[in-house]
Amino acid sequence: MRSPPARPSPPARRLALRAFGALGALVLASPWPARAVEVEPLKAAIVYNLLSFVEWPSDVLAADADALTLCIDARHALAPALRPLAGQPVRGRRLILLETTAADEAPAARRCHAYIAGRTPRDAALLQQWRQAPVLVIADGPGAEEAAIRLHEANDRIVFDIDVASARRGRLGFSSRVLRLARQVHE
Amino acid sequence: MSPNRPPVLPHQAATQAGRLGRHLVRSAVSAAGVALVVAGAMLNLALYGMQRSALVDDTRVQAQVTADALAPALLFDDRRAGHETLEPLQGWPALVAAAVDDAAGHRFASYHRTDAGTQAVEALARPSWRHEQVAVPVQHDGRELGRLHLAVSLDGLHRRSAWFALITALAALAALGMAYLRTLRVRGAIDRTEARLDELAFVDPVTRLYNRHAANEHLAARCVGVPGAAPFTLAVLDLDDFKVINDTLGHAAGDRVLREMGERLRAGVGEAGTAYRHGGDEFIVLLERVADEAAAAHAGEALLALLRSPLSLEGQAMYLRGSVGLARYPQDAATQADLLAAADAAMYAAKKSGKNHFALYRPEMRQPERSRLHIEVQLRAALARGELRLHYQPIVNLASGRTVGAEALVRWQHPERGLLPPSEFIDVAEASDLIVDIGAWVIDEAARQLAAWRALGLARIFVAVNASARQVTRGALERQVTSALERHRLAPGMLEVEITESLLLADAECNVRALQALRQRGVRVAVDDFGTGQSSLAYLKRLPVDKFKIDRSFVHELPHARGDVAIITAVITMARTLGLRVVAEGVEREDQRDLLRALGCDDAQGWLLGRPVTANALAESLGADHVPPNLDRAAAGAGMTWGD
Repeated sequence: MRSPPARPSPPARRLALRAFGALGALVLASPWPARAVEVEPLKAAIVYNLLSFVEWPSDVLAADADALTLCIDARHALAPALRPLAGQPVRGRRLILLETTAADEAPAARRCHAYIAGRTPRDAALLQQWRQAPVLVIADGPGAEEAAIRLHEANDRIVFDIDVASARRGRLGFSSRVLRLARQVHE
Repeated sequence: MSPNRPPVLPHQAATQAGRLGRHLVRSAVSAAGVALVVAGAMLNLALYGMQRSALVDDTRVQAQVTADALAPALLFDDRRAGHETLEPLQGWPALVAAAVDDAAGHRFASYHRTDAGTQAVEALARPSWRHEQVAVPVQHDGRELGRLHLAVSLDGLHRRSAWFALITALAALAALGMAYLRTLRVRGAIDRTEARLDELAFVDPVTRLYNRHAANEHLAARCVGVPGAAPFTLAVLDLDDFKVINDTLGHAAGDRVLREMGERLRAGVGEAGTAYRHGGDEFIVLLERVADEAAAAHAGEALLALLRSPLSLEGQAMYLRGSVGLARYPQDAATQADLLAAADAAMYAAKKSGKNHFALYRPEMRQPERSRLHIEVQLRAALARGELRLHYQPIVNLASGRTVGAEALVRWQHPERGLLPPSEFIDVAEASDLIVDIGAWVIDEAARQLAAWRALGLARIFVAVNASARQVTRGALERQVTSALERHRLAPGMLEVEITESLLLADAECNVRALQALRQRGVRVAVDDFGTGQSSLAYLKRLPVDKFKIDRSFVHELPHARGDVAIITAVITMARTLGLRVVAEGVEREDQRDLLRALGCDDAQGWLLGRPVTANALAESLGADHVPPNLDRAAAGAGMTWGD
């Protein structure tokens, strides 16, 4: 258990931190349905944890020495929950959260290692464009057919599916250890 | 008594036989046993330690692998996955339980063998002699997500170790058994060696009798000084003339005599006691159940009887002579040393009273001044101080009744004990070189006396001197006689040398040469104690002698003993044939003298004819006998009748 923060933190941040440290304990101990608590920090934590089991092609990672960039539309429901995780270590790198707004240009594939896809047309177009790109696409809920990881809420739990085939198109790999935890694995 | 059996002496109980071998077997087997136990224990401990350490290492590796696999389950809070991850561990029989705690220390997942019971999971935290416990952190990406605890059973290890210990013990037992068998084989050799050593230590190699060492041990055990200890008698048997045999016939002959004596003692004593060779020519016999004087005397007789039959030596029959002294325990002495000294004293007393005698111990026998060494020292001094005297016993011609010569007999004028006969000291002198010096003195003194008598003008008599074995065998006799004759300017015919028959025969060649040299100088040689030795008739004729002196033992029972008469007749006849003279010794009665004269004996000596007297006394009697009173002065002055 990490030592508690010295100053009062917003609930989301506190939750995210706890998820980061002892996610299982928190969720298990919680007597409320997932909806009763804010579900986004849990999802954010799962996303964060999943990143550590993904293998990017070495040339992709070599371009950026010490950062792992997670791109998200700033309006995405998970964006606020992910913000506290920015700067945290992932596979020996620092997690960078790149938020884009509608005004912004769509992010370039080479700048994102992972992308939290929403259901916007722009995202759909982007994903279509990134079919072969080494970008890990994570979808929350249905939509975004090309997503390699899809989060679901089931029986008060948050589970995920993995589409290995989709990931393989972008030359991404998953640790077998995490495949075992996926609710569904699509080949 | 059996000669070849290793002696079991009182200090060796029967159970002590082979003690060296037993000791060897015991120590060899116990040393091997200790070595095997130590080596086996070390081996087992080392093996156990290594196996246990290997088990821990294996467990740790397994725990690492499992912890690695557990990381996602913990990370994503997937208990099902956690259990699934632990499940493959059931393929590992040694694993008793496994448990994963999350970072907060709460149990996340656990697994335990169904047969181990739930208790094992709870017992994980506690150390147990049946479990080895390993805990590793579950880490992911540098973060510690929880801890995995594994408990492995040591039962299998313990079971294997127990089997191994059992096998080691069986192997050690087998090795011990083989070591035992091997040492048993060595033990046979050691037992034989020990017996041989005992035999060497306690058995005299010549006679196969027990030796002095054994005698001392045995006597020490018997003379315990307890009232009521079993009484017994100790006999000391000393062979007379053994030195002569050794000196003249050589040690091989001496050994044969000793061996024969040993055989006779062994056979004669039988179960009645134990015989020992106490050294040199001395034997001792421990006679059981001989307690009173009569029995002791009987035993003394019996021991002397063993000497009676002749012994064949280099084809000649030879008679052994000896003296026996007996002392009884505990009447005569209370200790071992005293008992031996008492029996010794009795033996010397017996020797003094003549050969082939025995004596029972009497307290007065052990006067300190009579000890051998004491006498020898005193005698040496006496010789230097001139305390020795010569007495002369007349030798009378039986036909004429005239004194024709005299036998010189040595006496010791002891400052305290008075005049001592030769029996008091000659044995001591003969045991050392002193006899050579005394012999020289006797010859010189006799020659001096003859010269003095000649100066007084006494009648022409010869003087006979006794020569001892040592004088003859060392070639001293001829020198001594020659120098005495020259110094006193005497005719050689005035001196006569007496040699005992046994000495004459002992080393015949050597002695014959010495005597021939004397005879060539004109000195007469007489055979003393004739008839007591073992002269062969064929041999006698070659001997360079002039005279036989018939031993007193043949004269003693004359004239009634027909056998003696026959012997004397034969000797005289033989002497006649060989052209020798015959002298009879020990003539004490007139009928003896008359018979000897009738048988044709030339001369005689004995108490009847004249006791040993001083030179002056003899001169007086000779003066009366030989010198006519009117011619006395003239003869003394002229001295012309001497020297032819």
